[in-house]
Amino acid sequence: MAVEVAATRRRFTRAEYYRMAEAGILGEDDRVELIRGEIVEMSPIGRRHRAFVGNLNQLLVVRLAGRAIVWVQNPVALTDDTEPQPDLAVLRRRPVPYKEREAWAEDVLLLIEVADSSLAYDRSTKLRLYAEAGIPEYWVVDCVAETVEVHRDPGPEGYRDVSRVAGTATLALQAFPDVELTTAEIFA
Amino acid sequence: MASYEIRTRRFSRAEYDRLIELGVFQPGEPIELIGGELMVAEPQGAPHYTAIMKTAKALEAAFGPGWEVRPQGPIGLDDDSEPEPDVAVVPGGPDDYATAHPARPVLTVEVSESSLAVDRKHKGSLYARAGLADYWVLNLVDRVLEVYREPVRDAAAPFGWRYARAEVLDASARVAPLAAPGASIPVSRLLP
Repeated sequence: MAVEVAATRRRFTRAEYYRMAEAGILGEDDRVELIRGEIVEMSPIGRRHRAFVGNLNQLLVVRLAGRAIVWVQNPVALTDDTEPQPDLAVLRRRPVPYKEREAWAEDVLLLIEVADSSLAYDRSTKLRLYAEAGIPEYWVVDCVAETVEVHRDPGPEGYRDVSRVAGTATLALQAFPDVELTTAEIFA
Repeated sequence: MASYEIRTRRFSRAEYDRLIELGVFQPGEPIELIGGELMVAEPQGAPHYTAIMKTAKALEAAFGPGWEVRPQGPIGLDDDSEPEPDVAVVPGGPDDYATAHPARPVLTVEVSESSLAVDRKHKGSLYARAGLADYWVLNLVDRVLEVYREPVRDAAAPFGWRYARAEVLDASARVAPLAAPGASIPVSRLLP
């Protein structure tokens, strides 16, 4: 009997991915992230996406000053074959500086993806990856609907605590309950 | 909701050759560059490998001197493809390809078991786009030889081209390569 399989793409490890970068095969112009061994091109960033990333960055940097580190569109290592580049990452301060060792899942307090065309991907593939890696809190910011989906309590099946924030509302960070952001500020 | 398709990073043939030079791939790792994508080739069973060796021997006899029969060798097909067809026949001898892979085999053969759909549709379209005149799929599932010829444009094909003529020959038939029209090879001599 014929077993007709689809041809499979070669998958890469993080180590191979970095060798490609060192050799100049993946360059500064490549907007890519490593997702389960596949080098995935990231969706183009539109005007609203840029603006909301900027707003979130400014709000978080100011309100978390001295308490946590805020990264914008930097890679976070999750496993040997997965290294996404979320729009924003709130990282814990740690004894080993980030210049000495990359940010791993255990350093992450909150990840945020700002989504326009990539909404379905951010809600499915990315969400499962983040939950599996034990990222404690994940926000999906919908540029079009101007809503925020807050995912907490990760497990192998996804996040068990999901809420959707729409309209005029206030969000607090799980890691810092006293740090609040309003939807009006995020979507200004 | 706007649709969004995941697109993986494509590689050029120059980048692929550089990756090989850097030793990113294990020696003998079964990969091919197909239209910018690095594909993992099907694992080889005993019938598959036997068919390759039988086909290579039959083609060596049919073509004679002045031709090189290359089992599973790389072909520098185009800017984003470097496939390794199961058997390829190229003009000249081994020294002619010491500095660059051959680009245009006069005959290209894929031995197919689990990869039948890919070999017919994807590779067929890729080889047609490159203008390869004679493409054979040795179909081990149905024990027939599929002979594809006359590349034509077809926007619906994976790489924009396909073969206009397809002929299916069973084990009792004989076949002559386009580039060796005087030869007459029994299909049974190719099958494992």
